This record gives sequence, structure tokens and C-alpha cells, in this order.
Amino acid sequence: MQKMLAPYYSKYKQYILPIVLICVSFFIIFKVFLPELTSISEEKRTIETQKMEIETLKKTFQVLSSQDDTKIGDDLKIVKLALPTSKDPSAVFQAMVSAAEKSKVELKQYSFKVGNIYGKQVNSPNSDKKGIPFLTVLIRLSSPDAQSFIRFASEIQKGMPISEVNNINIQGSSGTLEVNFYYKPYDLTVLAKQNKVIPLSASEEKILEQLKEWEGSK
Amino acid sequence: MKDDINLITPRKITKSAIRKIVLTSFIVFGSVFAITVAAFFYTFFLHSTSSSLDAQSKTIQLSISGLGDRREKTIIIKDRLTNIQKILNNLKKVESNTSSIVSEIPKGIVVVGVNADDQKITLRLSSPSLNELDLLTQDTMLKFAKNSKLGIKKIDSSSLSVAKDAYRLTLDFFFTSKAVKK
Repeated sequence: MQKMLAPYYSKYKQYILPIVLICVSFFIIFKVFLPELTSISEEKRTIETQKMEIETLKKTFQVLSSQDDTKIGDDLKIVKLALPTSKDPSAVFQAMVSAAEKSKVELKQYSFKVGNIYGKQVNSPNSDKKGIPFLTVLIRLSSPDAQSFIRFASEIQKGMPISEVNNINIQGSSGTLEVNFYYKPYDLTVLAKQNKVIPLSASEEKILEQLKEWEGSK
Repeated sequence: MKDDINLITPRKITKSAIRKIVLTSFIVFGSVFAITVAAFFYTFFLHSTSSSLDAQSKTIQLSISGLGDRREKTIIIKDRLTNIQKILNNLKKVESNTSSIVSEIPKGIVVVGVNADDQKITLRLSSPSLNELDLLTQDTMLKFAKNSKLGIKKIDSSSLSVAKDAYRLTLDFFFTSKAVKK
């Protein structure tokens, strides 16, 4: 075998080194350099993401450290009154009594509309297009003046919890109103996932002011 | 004969070419090796940058966790206000439409009955004077029809009757095309 290869070796031996070097170069390019390039671009993407996350965290920290605990406490109290975390019949009753006093009507009777007894419904009937659940109350009132029932409807919509008048039926000195009182349980998964804290927008501050006004006028 | 004289020249050309090939292969190998080493150093630099950013992120997160209570309350307030805004922006106009219509009824006419929902408002009115009711159907109804904010699609006078001491008029105000078609 050696005697067979010897003439080829002596003829081409000067080409062996360049060929080896070129082959090793190709090996380095395809097995080392190109994977390293991929790793570099992934690392750069990770760094960009980290930088954005740090910016978000810095802004969150800035917002949180500039806030006043007393104001946050007051704001939280107001928004929980306006949109309770569960059905609150006592808050609903308070709202009806307050509206009746302001509009000078007599609160005769009220009843809560509950869900279906039999069968399971996929979409709760007591949750509208806004996706926010509500408690429906049928309120019976009495007053010699028909206009006072409408004043009652106006007052109850300015009360807490936030409510919406569905229909008004007035006959002589008796009136019936169907009112939805809204509530919304906490979505703990959303609360846990949220890293970013941004300050309240101008429209949100405005709503807060309006809620405080409604609460203050009780 | 000519071939014998030129025997030495091809060997010289071949040696020069081989030297060039060897040199080129060394240059290629050297360049590839150098670029690859540089890539490794760059990767190492990026790793250390990433680690330092990670440490910075953890420091800020630690500072924020000290304000955990405030963070939770702020998120809850924002979430509640978003939902409250959604409700207030989409409230049915039953009360506001009824208020707007009833407020325009002249004092001489008594509102004896109302049936109102988001599609239709029915007013039952009573007056000892037919002229008052007539004026209402002419002037006030025109005012309602021109008020685009109310969004009234149609006004109907569904009945006019005489009771022992007064005239009774029933008016229907339609707010949706669906209610008009019914």
C-alpha cells in the first residue's frame, strides 16, 4: 500500500498543508463561527429586552416613590365603594335610601333579581356587553309627583355603587324602577402579572373627582 | 530539442505557484481563526453586559418590592377606574332621555304615567285644556324632533281620550329603528 501511495505523495506533498489549512478554515467557519454569530444576535436581543425591562422598572419605581399613601388609601376606598368586589346588598340599600331622601319619594319595596335556579349557563345573564357583572334590583316607590320618580332615577345613578337604570314605569303615584348595580371581583392573575405601574391619566383623575363629589353629596 | 532546452523553466513556475497557494491558505486560516477568536471575545463581553443588566434589574425589583403595598393598591385603583370608565361611557340613556323629555312638558300638563326603557318612552299626559295638549303636540314635539342629541327616531301620538275632568294624551318616543318597526 505504501509503495503504491509513495509516488503520489512525493508528487503532491506540497499541496497537503494548504488543503488541510483550507479544510480546517471551512470547519471553523461552519462549526464554530456561524453558530457563534447566532449566539451573538440572540444575546443582543436579550440585552435589548433587559434594557427595556429596566426602563419600565425604573419608571414604575419613580411613580411608586412619588405617591402619597394617604391619597392612595382614599382613592382605593372610593373606587371600592363605586365598584365593589362582590354583590353588596347593604351598599345597594344605602344607595336607594339616599336617593329616595334626596328625591322625596317613599321607598316601598325592593327585590333582587337572582340568576337561574336550574341549569348551568355558560354566559351569565347578569353580565352585559361591557363584561362587568351586575346585580339587578326592582325598586317600588311612591310619590304624588311623577317627576320625583325621575329625580330618584337621576340620584341613584349618581350614587355608589355605580348603577344603571334599565327601565322606569310610573302609574299615578306608584313607580317601579329596574336598576343594575355593578360589581367586579378582583382578577388576581392580572394583578400578579402586572409589572408596570403608570400614573393615573387625566380622564381617570376626572372620574375619581366625580366619584368623590358623588360620595361627598351623600 | 526545443523541449529539452526548456526543461528547467516549468519547475520554477510550479514552485512559485505552490508558494502562493501555501501563503494564501495560511492567510485564509489566520483570518478565519482571528475573526472567530474576536467573535468569542465579543460574546464574552455581551454575556458580562447581560449579567450586569440582570443584576441591575434585580436591584430595582428589590426596591419595588419594598413598595409592594403601594404597587398593589395603585394597580387595583387603575383597574377599577378602567372598569368604571367603561360603565359610565356605556350607560343606558333611559334616565337622561326621560328627564330631558319630561322637563319640556309645560306646567299646565300633568304627567300621569311613564313607561321608559332604552328603546321607547311612553308618556301619559293629562290636562283640563285641550289647547295645552294641542300646543304641546305642535311646538314642543317640534323641539324634540330637532334635538339631535336626544336621538329620537319617531314620535307618535298613540291615543287621545276624554276622562271626566281632563283630556288624556299618550305619546310614544322611539329611540331605535328596531322599536319603530315593532
